[in-house]
Amino acid sequence: MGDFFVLALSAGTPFILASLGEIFSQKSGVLNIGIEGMMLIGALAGFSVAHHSGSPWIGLVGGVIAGSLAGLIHGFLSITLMAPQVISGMALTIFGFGITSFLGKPFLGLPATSFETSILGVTPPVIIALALIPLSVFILTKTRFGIHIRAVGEYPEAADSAGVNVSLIRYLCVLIGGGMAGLSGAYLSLAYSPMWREGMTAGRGWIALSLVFFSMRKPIFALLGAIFFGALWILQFKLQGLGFGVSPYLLMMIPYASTILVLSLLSSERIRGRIGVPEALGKPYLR
Amino acid sequence: MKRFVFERRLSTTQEGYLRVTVLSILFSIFLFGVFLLLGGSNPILAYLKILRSAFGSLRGISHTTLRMIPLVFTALAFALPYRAGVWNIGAEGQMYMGAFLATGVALSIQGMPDSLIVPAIIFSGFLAGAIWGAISGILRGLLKVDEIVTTLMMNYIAILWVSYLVTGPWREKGGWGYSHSSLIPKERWIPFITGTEIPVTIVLGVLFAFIIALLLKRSRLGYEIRVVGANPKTAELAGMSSLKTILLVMLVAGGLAGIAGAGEIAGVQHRLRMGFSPGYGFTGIVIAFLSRGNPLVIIPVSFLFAGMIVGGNTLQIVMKLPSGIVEIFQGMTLFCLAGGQFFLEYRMKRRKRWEIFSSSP
Repeated sequence: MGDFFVLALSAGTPFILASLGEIFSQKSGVLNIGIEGMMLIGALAGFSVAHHSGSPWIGLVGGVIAGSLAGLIHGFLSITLMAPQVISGMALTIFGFGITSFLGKPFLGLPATSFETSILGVTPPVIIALALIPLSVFILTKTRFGIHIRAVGEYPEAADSAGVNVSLIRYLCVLIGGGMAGLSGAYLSLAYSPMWREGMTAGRGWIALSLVFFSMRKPIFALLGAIFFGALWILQFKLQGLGFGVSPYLLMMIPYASTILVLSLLSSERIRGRIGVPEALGKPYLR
Repeated sequence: MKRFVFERRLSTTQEGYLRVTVLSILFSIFLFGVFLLLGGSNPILAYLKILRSAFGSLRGISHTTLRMIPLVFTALAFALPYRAGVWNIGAEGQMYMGAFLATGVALSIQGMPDSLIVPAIIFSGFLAGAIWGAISGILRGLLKVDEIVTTLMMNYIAILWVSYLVTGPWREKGGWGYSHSSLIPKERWIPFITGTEIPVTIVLGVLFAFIIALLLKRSRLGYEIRVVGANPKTAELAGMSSLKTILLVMLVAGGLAGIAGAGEIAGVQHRLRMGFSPGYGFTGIVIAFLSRGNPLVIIPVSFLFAGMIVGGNTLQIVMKLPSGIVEIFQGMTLFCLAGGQFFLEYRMKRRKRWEIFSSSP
């Protein structure tokens, strides 16, 4: 059982990282459905930086930087140019898949420069992900920055007249979102399944996105959901091995179906107000 | 004390739309050229190759038209709800559901006259896609659940469902370990247009584009769709039911995407495969957005994008480029179009000196 939990946690770590980033982005009012693309970019960048530098740690940093740069495209389009965020995010996903397939070719089949140490049976990035959860809660609820994030996500006009730089806060949050998605991708290519393969995120970005809605943008719930979805991810392979008659494909419908269910159950106005869907989510702001 | 400010345009004109769109596309062609150049290929040569392989021969045009069919349908599936202010990014999944039911009908129905079986296959594609789209429509209309999320999530449920079928109950027996269904009997294929290898679904696609254009422009229903899209509050005050409108557009949109799936399986690939679509549903979004939801513009734009897919694939083989260039180009185009939207709605204005002094906060 303990082993299974460790496996589920390891499989759920990409979801934790990417969803935490998206929570920041959405809380500030920017919807970014390009997680899958940013994760792929982070995975390839992480892999290649680690390959050239010889250090998986520098690889992780590379993944974060590349993911943030990818996020920056979305930020520029949706914040500065006030583009429709769904379109820009979709473009990011398509582009991310294309560019990593193109640039990743020389890295196919190479061994990854992976982590050699493990702590309590998990690789270091898993610990980082776990540490980032209380940190995110702290930042979002207890700091000035966190209050500003909520302000620009709920009522940018008011935040603006109170002297908060709406664009700056949103840019920072989108960069955090991109960086965390990049880290999530780099974790995949450097620690979880150490190698580079085309489209290796295999839909994890979409699961991470659904987790943000599933968890109602609360980091703690995102952690629980990530472990749950991670357990499903593991089970799809385990059940096959044990000869159970459940198709892995049917099992992997559960994250998406449960997200739709949760959204439908929590849809009444009263609950929506309480769980705090950012009022300005998806809406550009012009001074 | 800004010298330049952005000012909202009072109205967007047809010429403005055309100018911004053309400039956005030119910019993305330029960007992609720079990308090819950095990758060590000659961009002009590459573009010529794309054009020649996609449009330069009868064979090329035939390939391009074949690829265009699903794109017209999925683009319409985005465009119609878009006009009603509803974001249907679920065409990919609706297409998979259409392909699923169409295959089921094509492989299992017995005792139906041959002349009826092909219409039945196409209709079952429509039906399955429509139901899949309507689920998101109902959730949005009744419970105000964001359709962006539900349509997106339901894509993956549908794709997984088809993967389950072709690896499980529908997997061809003794099929060399490939994940696909058995071949649809030849007499149940969607017939080709005489003298070509293009299934008649292309005619259906063009027809639907005209019908939807007419519906939007001339009918009471189309008027309601446009009002709900432009201003839901006004629509409600005028006694229009946004629930009915949203449900209707999602139903039709899902159905159209479903026909794309039925047409692709019963007309082109002739068996259900895992991941049979290279993202037609998502390319449809690019096309529809470029066309600003105008069904008639969708027809030529789908043809061009189909050409880009055909040409891009050839380019990859001929110039020995790694895969992914079609997606890179599509992504860049969508970035440029999304960014270009800004210049459609705002204009840069140079302020006179006195304006700066009198209005600065």
